[in-house]
Amino acid sequence: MISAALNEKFYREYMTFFEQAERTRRWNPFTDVDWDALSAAPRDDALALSAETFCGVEMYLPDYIDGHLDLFRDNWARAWFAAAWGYEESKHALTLWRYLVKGGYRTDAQMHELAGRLLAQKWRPPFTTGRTMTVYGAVQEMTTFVFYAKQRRLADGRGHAVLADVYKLIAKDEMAHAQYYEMILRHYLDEDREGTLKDVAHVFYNFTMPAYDLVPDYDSRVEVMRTAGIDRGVFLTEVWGPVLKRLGLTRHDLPRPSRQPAGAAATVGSPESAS
Amino acid sequence: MSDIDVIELFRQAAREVHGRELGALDAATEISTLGLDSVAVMEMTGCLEEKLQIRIPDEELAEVETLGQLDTLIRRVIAGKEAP
Repeated sequence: MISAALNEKFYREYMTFFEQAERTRRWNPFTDVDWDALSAAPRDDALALSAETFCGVEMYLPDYIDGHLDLFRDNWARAWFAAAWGYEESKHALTLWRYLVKGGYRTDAQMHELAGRLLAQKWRPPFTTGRTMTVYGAVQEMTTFVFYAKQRRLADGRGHAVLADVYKLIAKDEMAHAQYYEMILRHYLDEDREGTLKDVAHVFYNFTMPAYDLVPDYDSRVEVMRTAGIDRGVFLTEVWGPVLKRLGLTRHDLPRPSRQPAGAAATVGSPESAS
Repeated sequence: MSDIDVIELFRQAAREVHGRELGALDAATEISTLGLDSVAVMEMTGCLEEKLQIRIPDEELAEVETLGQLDTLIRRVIAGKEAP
């Protein structure tokens, strides 16, 4: 069980997150994107393939929410965050789906077929405690933000203003999610610095992005994304570096890693870190 | 510390941390061509830092592309540490 003091901090962080989202960040996928302008954009199958890949990753939403709630079912603030987060993420998949169909790259039938293929497999959380999954959440959300920000610049440069706007809206959400997780991590660090640093190190050295290996034709998709400047180096310099810096940490604060065998779920941290 | 062989230490780190035997290496070898992802390189760097009792700043490490550049950086960090 986590302490009452930590629970109170989680509650306050959720309320801050939710209030800011309601006041400043809500957007409507039907009215906040100029879908009519799509007809003027040149055809770009590489951009569409990346959009479909991100859409595919977002489609594992049921498993992501399930994973969150499984860990945080008994914690009001964290469970409510999972619900609010799930709503926002659901818009991301729907908006990318809409882009692909309205842009003439895919039909609804093709997207339903893709969804069926994706959901036939189940994504499983890579870590097993609340605290390690919080570290994972901070890094994963920041990674997603970087991906979308790069795709936005790419789309903009190729004359795809509509897709650039879509990525802008989504990236804003992802940054808000990353910042929420970072705030939660700060509280974990305040309460148990040594244990939290151990968890941060463990996730740092064993991190993989969610579900990318479950998306069909993964290799060709990765190749396309590499051309957009997305690789492991970016992950280190644009994701981990900034996350650690905002937490007031450097790599030297992290204990030496214990690598986990590929495919194995990790268990790190004390029982207290499970909430 | 002037007699350190950074390339050999790098080779040992690959062996110790990842159980990998690296082929021919020289100062011009680009680290990205060795089949090691950037997190793996970080782990190996941690191993080098431990052996040499130094701390390489992350921002400077991010700029390193070749083993020669890594050698230069490590020597600079050691020199800074040894300076009065």
